[in-house]
Amino acid sequence: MIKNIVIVGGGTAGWMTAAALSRHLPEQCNVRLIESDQIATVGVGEATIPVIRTFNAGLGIDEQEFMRETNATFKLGIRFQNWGEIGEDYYHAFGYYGFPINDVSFHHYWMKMQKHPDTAPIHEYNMPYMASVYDKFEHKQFNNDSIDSRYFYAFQFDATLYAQYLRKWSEAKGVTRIEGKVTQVSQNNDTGFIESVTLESGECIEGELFIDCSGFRALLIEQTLKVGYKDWSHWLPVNRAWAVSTSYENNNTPIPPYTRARALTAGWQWRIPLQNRTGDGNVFCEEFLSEDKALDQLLENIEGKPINEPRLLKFNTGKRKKLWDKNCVAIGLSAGFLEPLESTSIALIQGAILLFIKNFPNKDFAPATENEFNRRMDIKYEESRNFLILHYHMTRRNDSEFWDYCRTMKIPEELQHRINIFRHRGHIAHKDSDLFIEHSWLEVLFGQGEKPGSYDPRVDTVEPQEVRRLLAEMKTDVARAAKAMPTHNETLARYCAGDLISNRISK
Amino acid sequence: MNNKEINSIIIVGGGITGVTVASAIAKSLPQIKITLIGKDNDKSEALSMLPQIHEFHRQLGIDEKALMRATQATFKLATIYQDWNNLGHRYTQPLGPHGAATEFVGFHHFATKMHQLGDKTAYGEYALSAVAAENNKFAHPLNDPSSIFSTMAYSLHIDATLYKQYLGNHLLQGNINFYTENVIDVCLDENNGFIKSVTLENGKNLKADLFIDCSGKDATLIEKALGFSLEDWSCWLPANRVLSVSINSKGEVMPYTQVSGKTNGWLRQVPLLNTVEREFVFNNEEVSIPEATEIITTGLSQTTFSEPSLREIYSGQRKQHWHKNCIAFGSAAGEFESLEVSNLQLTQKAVQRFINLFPDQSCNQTLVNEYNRLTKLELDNIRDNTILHYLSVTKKDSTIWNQWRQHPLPESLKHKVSLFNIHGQIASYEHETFYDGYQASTFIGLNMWPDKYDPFLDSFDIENLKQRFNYLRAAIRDTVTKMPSHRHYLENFVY
Repeated sequence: MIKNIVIVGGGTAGWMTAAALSRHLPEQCNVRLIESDQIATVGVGEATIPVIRTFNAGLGIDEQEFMRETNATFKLGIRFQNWGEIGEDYYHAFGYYGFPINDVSFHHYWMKMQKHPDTAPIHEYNMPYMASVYDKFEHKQFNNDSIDSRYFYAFQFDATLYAQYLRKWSEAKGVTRIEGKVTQVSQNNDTGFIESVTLESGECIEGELFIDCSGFRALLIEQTLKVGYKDWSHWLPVNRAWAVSTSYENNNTPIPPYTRARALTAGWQWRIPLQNRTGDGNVFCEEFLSEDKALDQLLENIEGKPINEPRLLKFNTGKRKKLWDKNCVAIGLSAGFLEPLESTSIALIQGAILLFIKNFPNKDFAPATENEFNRRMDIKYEESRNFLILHYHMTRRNDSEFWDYCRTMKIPEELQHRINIFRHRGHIAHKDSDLFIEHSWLEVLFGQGEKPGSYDPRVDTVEPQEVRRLLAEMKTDVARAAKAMPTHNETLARYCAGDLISNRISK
Repeated sequence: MNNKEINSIIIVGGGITGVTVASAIAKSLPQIKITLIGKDNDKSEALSMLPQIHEFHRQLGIDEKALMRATQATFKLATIYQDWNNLGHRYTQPLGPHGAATEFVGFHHFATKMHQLGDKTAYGEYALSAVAAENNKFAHPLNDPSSIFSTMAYSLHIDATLYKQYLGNHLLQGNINFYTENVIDVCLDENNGFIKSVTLENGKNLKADLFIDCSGKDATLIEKALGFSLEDWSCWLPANRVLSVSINSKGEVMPYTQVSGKTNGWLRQVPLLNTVEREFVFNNEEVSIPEATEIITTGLSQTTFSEPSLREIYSGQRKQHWHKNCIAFGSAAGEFESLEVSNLQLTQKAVQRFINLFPDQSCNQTLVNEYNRLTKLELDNIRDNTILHYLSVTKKDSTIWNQWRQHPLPESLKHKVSLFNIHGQIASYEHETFYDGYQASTFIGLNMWPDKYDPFLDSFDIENLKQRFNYLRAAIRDTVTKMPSHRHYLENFVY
């Protein structure tokens, strides 16, 4: 079997890969990671989605320790402001709208009843949505039958600290870190397989398998193997981001259990709350807004004081035509870039790692293994991309050229199909491979102001009185459960101080 | 946007398919007026189902015990293949999983490693459902994940004729109009191509908002009226005839479906309470009816079995299952020889999917596209799983089988086979009926062991692994020893 694995690049992708490989591969495998202290990591992906917990649990990571070391906060969702129209506000919360009645999804009953005076806005039937509104969070195990624990959570953390944390973890597991900058890549003359990389110091590092975690530079997958790039910027035109950190006003400033995404004139601004600071940034399209103006916009809109110099990032939305080519696999920004709107970056890294481990190659690098990985990653990237496009396209904003473009652009057929099917009767054309659950799609569609033409006809078989009673009950239960929860600040203080039982899932 | 809801449906076809579709719609949408047209042309058949049937019954409010009593039903834990790859080859395909829960890596990787170390244990010995099936035992699974009974999974064997009667009596009584005349004409709307009405033999003209074709391979509506032909799969699945007999049986009741390979075709036995339904599935260019009769009656005395009955089958699916206000189910939509699963299972899933996407009178094209997309995916995947069973068969040598070997496999299956072959990974496609572990068990049962297992297992201590395997096997054996026999269970807890 393959024994000699070289990861080029540290950062979130590199260390997540190193940690997972060292956990999964037998001890005789030699995993080395080359990282240069001269090259800064991007590390903007500070917000995550709930699947991150599966990854941490797989490593056997202690959640409390991890949260302390990475300044992490809990995340129940994302708050979207000004997306459907200026002044509108909704949350994509990691949970559900109500319970199904007679096997039919709750929102169909709500659609029928929405005009009735007793019917509340749909988010009042959504537990993590309401908890987010009140800055509440309680650490609970998911239970599908009980409204007060029927939600998922993720984290907001300092990605640089997360990489450091995983570095410690990986090194303890036997991963070797090599400090240095790759200056040369050698390929086999006949096969084009990568044989070694040479560092500035002259040291030559040979390997059987190379993982490209070199970020935007894509040192191996693009600069060496030239697999090509599928550009998606016509669908996701933002291509710049200014990032800065700000301080909280004082120790009592409420820390929201969510990431905020506020739409601006040519993109949007993020606010990611950590324990000790917030990460802020303006993601914009340079064709519609100059870099200078975007920086002004960012600084005008931040709440606390900046604590570092704003940094500018440049990118182009899209993905490599192949993430795996010959004996090289690209994971992280080297593989592709989708903007951080739905915090998909780390989830895509994780997805790639797990899929790669499942399809870990033999020495002969049989094509079926590579094909399977590329096939499934294509689906993952395209579906995440479509979910992002939905936010830009499903808008009524007409206050800038940027929004006019997004609103009227032609979108991928599969996304158009999903929108059409929702518009007709409120159905979600969900797929097993989707990164987000059906209710995530519902929350964004409803949140952006989309209204289906009708509802599932099975709704009419339940007595309206009974539906009203059930709806009222669910609303009351959600309100009561949200009210009973401690604030996010309280939970953080207790949990990270070690008061509560840590959610350790070690095997 | 606000179109009128569907108020009336005409279903053409009075067999089990039509009644299943009518029952499911009547239960979910009782406000709709349903008319069922056509004689019951079904030949008697014993159904062999998957665990998904439980969800269908739950939605229809059907009580398992009551249904079983009314339909001579028995429990199904597995399918046992006999003389499949070659004479003497045998394997059990359980409905429940193999092994114990393992981190990251599917159990079949562990079994592959053990196999490479020389373990000759049949893979089925690591599955409770398989060992119970082989020993004619049965008990219901338990939900408690700490109990070994949580690894049981089962389905049912049901008499199709009685099943149809049961559904009719419980879900359609008084809610539905029946006509036994045949449809002789179909009238389309000139403007939009929708079906407007059908005319019966007695001249009666019937209108509806939606038309459902359950007319079997006649495909009265979807093909004869609307012109949608079949995508032909006979190059991959050449069987086109089924000859069946019903055999009296008073002894042990098999809690499994048995499939036995024959020189030119295969024999399936499905146990009902007091009979075993035996079918021989073959191609009529290869086997004559007298030859088939000979095969199916071997070893039986004249008095113990019914007159053999022949039915035609085909291999393929409709290019469109749903078009405008007409949708086809059952053999009108697609059919192929079904080793482990009766085609009615697909109808049950299809009608649930249809109800979840139920249209209004406009039959919005987006819904139609979504339904067709999912249904086609599902059938393609099951087709691949069926073809897979023939890849390891070594003994077939006739013109048909030589032609068969030359025909390239579907790309999706080719990829699936090579991926498993390399290191036991399952290429999972969207909308699979069989979960990954089930598919792995098919490969292994067919002796298509992968070359390599997941590298994670290289760090496992071999002695420890052997011990765990021995322990697991013993635990399963002990559990099965204490279980009641299938017949005993049926007589005491069901009938």
